Amino acid sequence: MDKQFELVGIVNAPDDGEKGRKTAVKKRPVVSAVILALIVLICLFCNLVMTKDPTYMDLYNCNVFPNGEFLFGTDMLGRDIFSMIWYGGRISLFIGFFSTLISTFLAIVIGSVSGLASPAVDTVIMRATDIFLSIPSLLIIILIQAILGTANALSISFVIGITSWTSIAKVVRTEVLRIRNSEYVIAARCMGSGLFHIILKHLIPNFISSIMFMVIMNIRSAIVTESTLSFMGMGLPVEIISWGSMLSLAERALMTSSWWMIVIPGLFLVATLLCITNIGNYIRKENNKSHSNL
Amino acid sequence: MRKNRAAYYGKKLLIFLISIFVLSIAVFYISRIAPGDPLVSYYGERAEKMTPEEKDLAREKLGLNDAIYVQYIKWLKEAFKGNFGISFKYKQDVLSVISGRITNTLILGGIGFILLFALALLLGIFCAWHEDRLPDRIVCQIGTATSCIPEFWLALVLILVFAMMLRILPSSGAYTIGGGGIADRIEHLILPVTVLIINHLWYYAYMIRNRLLEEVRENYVLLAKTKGLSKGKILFTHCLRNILPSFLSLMAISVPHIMGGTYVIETVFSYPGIGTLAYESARYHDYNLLMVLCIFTGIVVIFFNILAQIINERIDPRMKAEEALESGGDTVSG
Amino acid sequence: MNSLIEIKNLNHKFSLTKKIKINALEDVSMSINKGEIFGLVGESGAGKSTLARCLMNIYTPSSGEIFYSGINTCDKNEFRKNRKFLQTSRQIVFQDSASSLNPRMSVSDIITEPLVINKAKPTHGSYRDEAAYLMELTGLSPALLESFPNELSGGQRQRVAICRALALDPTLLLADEPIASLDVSIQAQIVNLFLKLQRERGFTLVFIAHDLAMVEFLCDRVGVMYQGHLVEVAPSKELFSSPMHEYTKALLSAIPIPDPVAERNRIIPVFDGIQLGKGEMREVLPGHFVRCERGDNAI
Repeated sequence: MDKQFELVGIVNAPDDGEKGRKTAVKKRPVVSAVILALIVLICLFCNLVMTKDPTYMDLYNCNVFPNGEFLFGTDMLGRDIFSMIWYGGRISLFIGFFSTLISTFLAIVIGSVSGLASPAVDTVIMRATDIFLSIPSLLIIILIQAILGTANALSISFVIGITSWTSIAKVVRTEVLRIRNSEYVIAARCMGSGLFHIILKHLIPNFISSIMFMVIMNIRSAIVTESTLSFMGMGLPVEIISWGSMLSLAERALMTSSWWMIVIPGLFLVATLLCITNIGNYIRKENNKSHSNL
Repeated sequence: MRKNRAAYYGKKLLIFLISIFVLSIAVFYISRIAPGDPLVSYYGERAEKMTPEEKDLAREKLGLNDAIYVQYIKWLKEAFKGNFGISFKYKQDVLSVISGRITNTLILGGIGFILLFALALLLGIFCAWHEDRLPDRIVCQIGTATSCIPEFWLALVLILVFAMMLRILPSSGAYTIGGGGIADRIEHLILPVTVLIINHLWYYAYMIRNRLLEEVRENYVLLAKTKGLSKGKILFTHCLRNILPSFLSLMAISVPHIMGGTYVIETVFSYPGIGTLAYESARYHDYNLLMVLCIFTGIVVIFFNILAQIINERIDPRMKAEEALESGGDTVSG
Repeated sequence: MNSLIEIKNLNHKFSLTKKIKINALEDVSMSINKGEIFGLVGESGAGKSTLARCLMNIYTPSSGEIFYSGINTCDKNEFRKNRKFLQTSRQIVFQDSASSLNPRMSVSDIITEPLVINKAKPTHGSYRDEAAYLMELTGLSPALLESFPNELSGGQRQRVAICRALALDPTLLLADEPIASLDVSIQAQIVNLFLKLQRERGFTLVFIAHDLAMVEFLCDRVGVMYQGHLVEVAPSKELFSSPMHEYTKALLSAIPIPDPVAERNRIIPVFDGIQLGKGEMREVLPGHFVRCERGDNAI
């Protein structure tokens, strides 16, 4: 019998490609997570590590090269960059998280409404979203910021938040359209559940994983937007210290070739962004993996 | 069939027009309710010395006293005649202000765009070829790292290194004042274009890489392999042709991103393009100018978005392959 | 007869586009008695699931009336007035247990969901205890309480779905092809489970299936559907022994006989898709209804 059913022609191909992929997926971004946690923690408890008052302008020590007293040097206004990094990081990170919170909330609300509403309402919402998406967000941010007047951390998070929900909202909508006709939602309706229960218990748990990557990337782009705006002089003013506003003096620093003023805050910015990206990529791969297994 | 196609493009055109209309209303309203005195940008120092009556007269003259919707209708009427008003700051017709700058932006964006996608395609193919082996992984790591660098900071660092420390490249402008040969222009373009490319390259290269990797998992690749085609031949003649629609739509979608990028880069390098102009006009409440710039940007962006949609919806890779066969078939390579 | 459900001249249309409409249900009238197991058979697209969904108020029928315990559920006002009663006393079990259970909820959460939604007090202690009790009732190990649907087998998932439907102790249980996506051995288990539960709890069961053998085994009365019409309703034994309608005969001939000789010599009646026009149900024998073309006295 065995001979009859022997399979011929099978060559067990070396499976190194797949193995390589698996290890790439399995590799957790430990280093990134640790570095990010360290940066976040030190920023949160910056009082413990700061050697100077970050807002104090020591006019006798302007533009000082990094040395024993000023670990990362001082800027044009005589402020200690080492202390500013941690102090300002708090604001930058806050803006990143808070604006993402706003945009995610908006995205979930708009996406869910659009997905659950009648096709006509859905079309209108999606068209409006498309138009919104078509204006370069930097222009909208500049416009809204102009209306709100002088920026502070809250107002700028708000502005960034309300301009960066579109892409997440689109994903939420697609997911909601998929989930809302699934039988467990119908079953819940038969049991008499309200809309709120369905959104909270059935929709959000099922689409949260597919937007997680985008949410994390949103933190990243919010931090970038804040720093870009502050650098261009349209975000936080010089007095409110953030990684972006520290760089707003860069033009003057260029004149004197004071590289530390540009390079050091930038390196912290890039390191943070890189850690966030790595974690985001890991989450995306994890999601893809579970999807393909299903 | 033909009728359907006409209806399809008609619908797209309608969406395009409505989008621009809504966009223009939105920008008009937002810019009008923004605080800040446009008189200051028009009259400069003089505005502060003017008496209230004089100010009122000046506003009347500039048409700033009407209700916003009246102002909008007036603006729209003039716009159809090709008159978009004058720039308060430059005291010139808006179009002439823009037309002086737009070529600079087109040169920067255009060169950046072409180089960017040529490099992205090469890099994508390279990574797909070495899928998950050492070269691919190294490139992926470097790519992820570069994509995290904010472009303004990258620009600053490059200026610092090449303009301030090494003094081999100019730090700002599009050409040396007084000079202005082609070599001089190219010299001024090197840094901005480099920033543009480094900033966007990995994003698109990674997309192309992943799209290619999807493609090589198709069954026809297996068939080609069993027929004894070489790896290179399969990849270059079959897979590349099949990812062409994705590649084109990616190019179309990328336009807004790259445009936004150019605006920031222009500002950092004080490059006289419409990016710097937009930034200035927003800061100085130069309504007419800002309006036209926003709408111009919007038109470009919406146009390319719709183009990407059409490419995605209409160009079936199979149809494309048939056409390619008929015409002898050229694959994309750069 | 004390009937639980009265269906009168029920019609339902689906609009695909503005022009194209599909009549999923046409002029369906019947009644289902309290405490019986009613089987609904027919080919795919015959309108069985649409009928079930109309019964559950998932779809609002285009016209016609459904009376449930004397309440016209198609009437919006009456439905609203009795919403709570209707939603707790009628429950449904779907065909595809994989998609009818939320993959992100644990088994115990799924089973107690109806209780939570209706703020009902569990009869056996806490919500968890209630879930465990129901699981034991349907032959599931309470060890699975905290597992998630994708960790369960198809049969287990279907049992969980049944648990969920039973949580509110319904009067009417609709089973929309509950065994179609299961292995044959599991199918038998689930059918036996339905039988056992129905005997213990005395609810009315509407059982929709393709599998005629299962229907014959399980059901007291059977309705046959074809192209959105109800063509024959009869007590199970009578229908399977002496079918009247042409379509029913053709359908029943599809049941395989576990005897190769008989199977080989069998003559399969040809049924080439008659178009049904206007017709009406006639009671040819006590309790045996057959659909006749109007003005046609052939049967």
